[in-house]
Amino acid sequence: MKTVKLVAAVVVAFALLVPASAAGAQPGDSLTVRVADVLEKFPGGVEVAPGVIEWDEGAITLTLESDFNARSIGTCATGQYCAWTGTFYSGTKVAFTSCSAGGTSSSLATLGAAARSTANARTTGTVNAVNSGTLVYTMAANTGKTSTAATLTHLVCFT
Amino acid sequence: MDELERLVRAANPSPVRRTSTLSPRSESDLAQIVSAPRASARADQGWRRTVIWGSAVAAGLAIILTVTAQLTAPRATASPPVLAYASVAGSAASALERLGELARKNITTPSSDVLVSETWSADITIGVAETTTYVQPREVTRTFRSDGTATFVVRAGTVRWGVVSGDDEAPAAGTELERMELTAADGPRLFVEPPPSAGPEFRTYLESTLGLSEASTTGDYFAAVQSLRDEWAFDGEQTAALTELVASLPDVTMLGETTDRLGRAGIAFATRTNGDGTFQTVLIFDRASGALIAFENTYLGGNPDVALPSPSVVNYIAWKDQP
Repeated sequence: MKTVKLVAAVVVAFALLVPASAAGAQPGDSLTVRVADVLEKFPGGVEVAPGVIEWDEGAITLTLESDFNARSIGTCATGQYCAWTGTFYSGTKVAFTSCSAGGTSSSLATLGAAARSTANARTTGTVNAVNSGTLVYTMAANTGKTSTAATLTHLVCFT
Repeated sequence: MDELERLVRAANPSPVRRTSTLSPRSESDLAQIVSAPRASARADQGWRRTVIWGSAVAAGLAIILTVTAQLTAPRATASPPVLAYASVAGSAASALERLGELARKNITTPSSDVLVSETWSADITIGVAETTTYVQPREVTRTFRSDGTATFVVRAGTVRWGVVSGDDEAPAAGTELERMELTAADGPRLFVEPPPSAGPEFRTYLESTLGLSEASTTGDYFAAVQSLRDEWAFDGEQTAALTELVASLPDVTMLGETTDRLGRAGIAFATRTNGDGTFQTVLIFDRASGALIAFENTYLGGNPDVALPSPSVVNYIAWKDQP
């Protein structure tokens, strides 16, 4: 019964929050503020990851989108970082999601050809484009590089 | 009358009408049945329960195994079929020399600044099995202008392979999917200068533009040629320089005669040096004119991160702007 009430409460909360975020997307409305808002209205939850709140020891989970302005870059979906064999985000694409504080290195050998454009469609964190351990360039969140003549062997993703 | 007797009477397994009374023989049989120890019936029920539960568990396991297999194994995602090749007599070097001569003779028109190609590319998401059910190529038109600006237009092509399933929606052929108006500052071309007309210079030109080095593989050169051809059409001399370059590269195999995605007869040359040897990259030259007409890249298997069946074509480009 408790679970049902919590589910209902969170559904209501989500229903209340989503229109607000869609209509009044304010740059100042950081994820932290919105998480705090939810926890104040529905106490007992624990933020187990950025924007992810759990109640009742994980029986209920609410995930908040972390950026109102998040958007895909080319065909690289929000939350991914990608490389293409063609310039201007064309050709074969490989997409990754793994990142870490120390940097998660993803090989571009999976492309089957040289990368000619890259994008970081994540809402936070940077992605380094490297050639055998040498930094070639860095992409901030929600940015991309439409063409590169450089040889790239890996993308390294930082949270 | 207990439950068993009631059920037997109701069933009335005699060949007479269901509503009639039981015959003396049937009454006798029934009396024997209902007076027999029920242990055997219970044992039978227990056996049935075992069979039912066993079947349920087996079915459950089968479902779990099927779902798990579907999640972990490469899916039969739609991709263009691998081209067929027929071997031809002679060496790759002599075939390339012949193609170069053909190109010098046949490609007399100047390089065009409007480049048109049909292309299809795979989307590979690491750790995710793709589920595309059809292959819909795109037609890409790149217009480069002398002031450094360019316009790229991408239109949907005709669905060539597979079937558009219920939930998918394929845009109608000809639908404009993307349009990019690029300024000179956007750098529409990686290769700013046109390609040279002699073999050695052609190699230097690729190396200096894309930073290729001794560590670069033949696959890197093939991919560089594809990038270049997306930006420049080659005249006869430039094509001959390209064939000279390909002949000079190691790890090149002549696959033989083939028909490209647009139905043109060609001769294909391949290397398996891309992606740590897990891809086969192919250049196809027109058998009649010597022109470079197509590029293909096929995943051969062996990369645990790629959830694609092998072999799978991951990319093809068929250039349409030259005879």
